[in-house]
Amino acid sequence: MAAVGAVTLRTAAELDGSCTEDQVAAYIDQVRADSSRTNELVPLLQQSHPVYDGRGANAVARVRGYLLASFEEAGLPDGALPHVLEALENTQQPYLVAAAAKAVRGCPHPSPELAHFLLEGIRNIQYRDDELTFRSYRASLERETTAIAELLASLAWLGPRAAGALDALETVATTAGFNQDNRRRAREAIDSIRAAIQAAEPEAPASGGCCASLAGRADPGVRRRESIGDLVFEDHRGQKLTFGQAFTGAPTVAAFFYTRCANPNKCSLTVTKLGLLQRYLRDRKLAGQIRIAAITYDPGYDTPDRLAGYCTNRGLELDDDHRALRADPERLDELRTHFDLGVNYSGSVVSRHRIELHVVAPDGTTDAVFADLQWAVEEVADVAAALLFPSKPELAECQSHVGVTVEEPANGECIQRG
Amino acid sequence: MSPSDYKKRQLEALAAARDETDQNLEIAFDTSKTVEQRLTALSSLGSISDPVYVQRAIELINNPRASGEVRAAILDKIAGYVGRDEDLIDWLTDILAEPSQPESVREAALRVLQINSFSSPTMLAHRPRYLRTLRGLIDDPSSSIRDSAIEVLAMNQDEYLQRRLIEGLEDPEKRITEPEKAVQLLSYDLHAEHFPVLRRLAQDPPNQKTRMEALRNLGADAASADLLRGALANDSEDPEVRHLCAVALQRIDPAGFEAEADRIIGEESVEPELKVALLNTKLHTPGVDRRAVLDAIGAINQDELPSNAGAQAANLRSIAEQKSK
Repeated sequence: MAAVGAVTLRTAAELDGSCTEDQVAAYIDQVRADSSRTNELVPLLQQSHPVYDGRGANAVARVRGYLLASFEEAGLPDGALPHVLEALENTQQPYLVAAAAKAVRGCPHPSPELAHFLLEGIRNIQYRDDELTFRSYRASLERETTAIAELLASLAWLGPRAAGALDALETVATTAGFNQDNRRRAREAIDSIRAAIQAAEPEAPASGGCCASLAGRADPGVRRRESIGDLVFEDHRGQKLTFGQAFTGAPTVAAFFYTRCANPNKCSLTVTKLGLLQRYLRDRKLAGQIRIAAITYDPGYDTPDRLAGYCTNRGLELDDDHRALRADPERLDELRTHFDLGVNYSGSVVSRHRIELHVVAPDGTTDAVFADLQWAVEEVADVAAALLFPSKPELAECQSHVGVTVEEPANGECIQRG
Repeated sequence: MSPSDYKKRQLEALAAARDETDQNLEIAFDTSKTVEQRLTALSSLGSISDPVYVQRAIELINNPRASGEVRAAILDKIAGYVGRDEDLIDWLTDILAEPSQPESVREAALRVLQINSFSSPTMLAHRPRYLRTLRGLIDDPSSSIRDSAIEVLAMNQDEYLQRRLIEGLEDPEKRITEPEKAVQLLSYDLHAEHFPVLRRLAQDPPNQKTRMEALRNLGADAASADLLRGALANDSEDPEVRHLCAVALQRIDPAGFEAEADRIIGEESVEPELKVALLNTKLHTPGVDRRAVLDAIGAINQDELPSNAGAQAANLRSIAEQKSK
């Protein structure tokens, strides 16, 4: 409940960084008590929402966790699902993982794919678990649950849809890497799932369910016509170049990161995967035709030396076509707006960000965005390669064969060399 | 010596070592021996892994009439064995949490648990209960237990502890540790939401140590570059403070640091010791002109340097010479 004397917020439009956490929590409580208003909570899950402006990482985690957990009772809207899955797949904070696990139990049409994400949550949190509470907004010393307990409860809740998780649950139930309580919970979940499988009526093959909306993680419909052509970047060698120089003339894969990110599933893995993408493109004779840019969220701290060290240590070879970049810190907001970045800050420090990779067309507009969940190297390469032959996407498919160079001919036939 | 003689000698040495270990174990458990004798025997032992002796050790540790020092010392010897057993981890956690246990035994329990938190998957599975226990110790009557628990929680970037530390910095009535220590502990976590507090403490500190810690740790906050530059440029500021501001500024604004450092080094009135310290920091700045650093070192009157600074200047010259080749 809001603190005595604090203004009670009634609409989402009033939420920004100037509100106290208690006011935000009270608003969430108010909305979740009214099932007709649940969708009002979805925009608050965007990393860049004003409610997070100026808040530190702990405060952001408290708000997001409290929000996600509310969907257990209020029901999980479709728009909230990507954020739930992102928390399970990538987060190592017990409170957020537990909250996401609770949110799964609000899903109106659960799909078997949820089991995979819940198991990912267990993998992420196994050695980082903690006691938590969702009975009040700010945790005191009295806490009633843990992240693994919530994950196991959600797997049990899935019933027959968690059949694919039984082997993994058997490991949890028998391994010393889980404590006695969790081994017991896993055993109970196994028994519950098996009983549900036996009792369940044969179902038609699953078509849809909550995760169907996530099929194909790229969002090919996103296009940005605005340009920030004169925005200056500094690359890993200290060389200055404008947005136009860095991002036009060839397709560019641009991923965002920062060197002080503490979550290995996010920035460190993103840059490592850019290195894998680089090698994948090279094997397909696309090196030099498709650029790669690793752009920091933290231009004030990530100097060229830090950018260079971070990227090369993770296997991304830097040169004129593969750069690590920092934007002019004074114009960071323009960069954020242009790419609609999923990031927020507390002062100069990144408080929270999503995984995001943008495929930029040769004219500098964004053609596709891979956001929140882990992206696949091959899928990103295919989307970028399609931009090489915008009028003949089938040539991009020709190019996908290793060792083949494709030229776009005048007569429409695919010429393969190599 | 023939191979068989060599082997015989080795086997005899092993047998002698086993006998000595057995003797030391018996002395350690012998209540007729003095505490000093028992502690000496224990210090000669490696870890205890024989289940029979481990069981005897557990009985000794559970004996409230036994010497606290001996109980603590023998607990250290079974650390590895404890880390493999969930029930023993629970048992140790209970000892840690119990204020009526001797401080030495509780400290040993925390030590063993913390060692195992690095190496034992069984201990990591126990982490929720361990952290809960540590949080409860933030207000423990024993200052050494409090301080140790706070340190471990800070290393685990515990959000509850961070809130308590920040509350203590904002309201002295709520302090759980000295303010300069609180600043250090918060700085283990970039995301501890402490930079606004540090900036305030840098300008309005409860004591000089706190101010210095705050300035030192603002080297992770790009928004504090102006604050640090101002302190560095202030000729009436303590030289030690100026140097730590230089190091902090160098992290977030290398060009700004270098410009200010060059200005200071070029001023005749500045203490040579500060000049040497700034040159040391410059030498570690990426892309620095090492020949210029060498020249600047040469320009400092070595006779004006205290002995340790003189040694530092000589060392710098050597490093700069090597790196400029």
